[in-house]
Amino acid sequence: MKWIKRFGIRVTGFRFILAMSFAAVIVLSMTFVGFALNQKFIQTSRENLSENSQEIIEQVERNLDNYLKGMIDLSNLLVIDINKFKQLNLPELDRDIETLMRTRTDILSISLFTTEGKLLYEGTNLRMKNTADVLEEQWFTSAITGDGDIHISPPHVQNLFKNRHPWVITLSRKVNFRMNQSTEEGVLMIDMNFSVIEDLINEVTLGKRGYVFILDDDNNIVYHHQQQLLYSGVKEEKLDGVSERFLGSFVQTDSNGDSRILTIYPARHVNWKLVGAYYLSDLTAAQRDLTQFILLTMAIGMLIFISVSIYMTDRITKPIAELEDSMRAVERGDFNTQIDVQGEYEVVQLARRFNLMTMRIKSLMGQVVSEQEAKRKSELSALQAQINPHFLYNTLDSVIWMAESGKHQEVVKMVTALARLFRISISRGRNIISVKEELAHAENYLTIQKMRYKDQFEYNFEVDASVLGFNTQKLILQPIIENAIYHGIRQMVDEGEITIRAFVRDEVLVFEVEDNGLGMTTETASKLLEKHHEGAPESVRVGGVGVMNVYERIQLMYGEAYGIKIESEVEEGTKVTISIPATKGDHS
Amino acid sequence: MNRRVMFVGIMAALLVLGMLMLININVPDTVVEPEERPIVNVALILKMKHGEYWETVNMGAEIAAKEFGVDVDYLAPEEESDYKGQIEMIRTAVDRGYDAIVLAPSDLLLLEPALDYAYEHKVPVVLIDSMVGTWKYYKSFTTNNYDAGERLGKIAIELAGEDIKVGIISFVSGSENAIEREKGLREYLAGYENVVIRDTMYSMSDVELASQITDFMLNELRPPDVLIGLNATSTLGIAKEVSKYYDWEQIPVVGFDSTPQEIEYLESGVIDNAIVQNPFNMGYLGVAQAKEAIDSQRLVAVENKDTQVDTVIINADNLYDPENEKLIFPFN
Repeated sequence: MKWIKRFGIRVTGFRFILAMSFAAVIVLSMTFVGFALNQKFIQTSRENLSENSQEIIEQVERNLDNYLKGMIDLSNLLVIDINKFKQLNLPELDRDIETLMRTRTDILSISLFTTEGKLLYEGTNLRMKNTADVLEEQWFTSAITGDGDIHISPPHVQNLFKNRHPWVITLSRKVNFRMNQSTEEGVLMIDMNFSVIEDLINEVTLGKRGYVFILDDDNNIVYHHQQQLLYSGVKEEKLDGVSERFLGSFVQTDSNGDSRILTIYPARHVNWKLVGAYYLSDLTAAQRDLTQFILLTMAIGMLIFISVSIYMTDRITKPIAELEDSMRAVERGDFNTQIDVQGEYEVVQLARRFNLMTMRIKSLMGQVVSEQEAKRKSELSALQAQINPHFLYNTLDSVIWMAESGKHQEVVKMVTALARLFRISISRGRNIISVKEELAHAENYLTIQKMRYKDQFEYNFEVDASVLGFNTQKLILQPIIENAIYHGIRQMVDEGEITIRAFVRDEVLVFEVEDNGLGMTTETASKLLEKHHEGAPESVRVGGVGVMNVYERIQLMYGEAYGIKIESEVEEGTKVTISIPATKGDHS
Repeated sequence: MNRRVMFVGIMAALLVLGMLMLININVPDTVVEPEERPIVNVALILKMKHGEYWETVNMGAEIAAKEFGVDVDYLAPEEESDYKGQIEMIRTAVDRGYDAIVLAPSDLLLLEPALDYAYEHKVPVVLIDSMVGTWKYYKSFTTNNYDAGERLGKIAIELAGEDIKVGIISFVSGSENAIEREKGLREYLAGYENVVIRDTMYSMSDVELASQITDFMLNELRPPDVLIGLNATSTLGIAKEVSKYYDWEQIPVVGFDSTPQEIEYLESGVIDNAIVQNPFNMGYLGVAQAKEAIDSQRLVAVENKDTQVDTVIINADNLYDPENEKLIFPFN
């Protein structure tokens, strides 16, 4: 089966099984039909042969019958001729017979004998031998004792006449004639040339080797074309089954072991059986031809039908193979695949259902994505909305405190900063704002915090003026700065310093928030940005949530290439770098 | 791809339809088969053109020709003694490409070169009637001449007694048949010490000469008590002469063959007994075995090389027995 696999055909595959089944059905049915045809032909041709044989033998018999009947009629005429004279008038009889003999070359002699065997008349000028003695001849004695019956002898050599030994069959009958006023009895003899009958028998053909022979009622061979060979034992005619039959056909094996059909037909007027032998070997050549023909037809037929079946199988299985390929594409995640399969109704339906299913899966997946996104967005909005209330109370506390202490200038400054801060925070609901606004937001926040923490730190901006018109997500600096103040600067003894930078480097807009605060270990720093943070308790989140949130928002909006980097060293300070794509906005 | 398959399929179907039509025309008739067999030619070379004996040989050959499907051409010189004519015929037959030769050799030794020639050209030769002095033939079917001679002797003793003088008339001194028959006869008679055998005389296959020899013998001081002819012409000559004698019934005549004239002498009793050969069978077997030789592609048979065809004794009483009738009177 390896070779089959090599051709890319799977033995258990639909296509292979289908093609093989077709082929098997075709081969079996054609073999069956061919075999049946062949058998039928052999049978029919044997039957034909048998019938044919029968017809031929019947024809021979009819011809023989006609001939003998003619002879009997002739003998009747002669009897009348002989009877009509008051006194047997030999010259007149001779005239009649001479006329007759001129037209009938098959009659070798017509003679009239007395019952004592004396020759009264001979019609063909033959001289009888001195030694001849008709009394011993079988045809003569049969006629005498037969009481007017007509007797026809088997073929024999006529030995009555000088210098002539022809093979004849002799018709003999008792006849009355008048001579010297009395009615005498005599015997009329007509010799018929046996070659006439021989020709009747030999002119028919029974295949190439077949022949006809004659048996008498004792099953002695009366005539056989190889009679001499039979007598001398060179040949043998097997008569098994012939003796007990009088009519009909049967198959017999001859002395050489060849099968033949023997057809027996009895002859009228004589006690003979005509036997026709037809050799079956004459049939086999025709049979062989037919068998070859059937085999060839079968081979060609199988070739065609198997090709057609392979073609059909391909047609049937091709849509299924296409379906399989498409499914494989879907399996790889390509939900845009749409199957366009032509073919059988069932396969088309299957493809349609599959397409519907793919579409449904795709829409479900889209739904999941958008829901997730919406969730994020709501979270984000919530976060943005979450301008820390503590920050607001604290700031307002500071404002009250400054107002009580009469620091009007500071109050105005702080409240102004606070107002600006919120304006930008809200920014009419926009998510994207200009860098300038973002920086302004950061500065307002820093202003407020600096006042609250009584100038515990200094801050400064190092901003590339060209970046001010760029777009940025809003509120990404404030959480970082808040972190720097609460975790880096607040516990410091010395005065802290926060530097905020903004510039473009390689198409990337970079913000840096650097402090010289407490710093942290690299470990802690990396933990800040770790995801799966969400299950952590609120207290832990306090520090990280802001940074983490910024990080996630950037990545959600701009992709994974952007984000936050934290560099920190204990007692040295922390530098947070934010990178987003540098895109110019149309801010006024 | 579908289109290509369909195209190929249609072309194949058309091709096959065409082939089927062609074959259909050639489907043979169910019973008669027009098989073309290569024609097999056999040359039948006999001793003599005429004579009933040879015509009967020919009849047997024709029956075999029909049975085995071969063509037989019948050749013979005018005279029985014309061995040169036979040599010429054998050579011609070989040159003309006959597949086999059936030969009734007219001489024991002189035909050898012709048989060598046939052997060299791989043409098998089947001998009938008489033998040759070489082994270069396929098979032979000859009259058992020695046995026939013995039978002649036996009949002579039965007819005339054991104290007799025997007159033998042979035909050609060099003939194998004549030699064998006389040998069989003489060796049988040698068993009877009171039998005297007169010197053999030769009729040269001439009836008149045989009659004259008979006349001569019968007028000798001690005429033979039984006359034996060793072939048809000698026997006929004897019968003709003997029938002239008023006491012909007292002169036993034993001879060979059954020509129509001999038959009349047999019927009348002039010839008491005749030994009949079976020329029909020899003709038949000759052609049948020639066919066998062609089929087996052998020049010399492996077994049953020499067969002697038995003779039959006939007389007035059994002449018309069915088993002899066909032998003596082949169909007209």
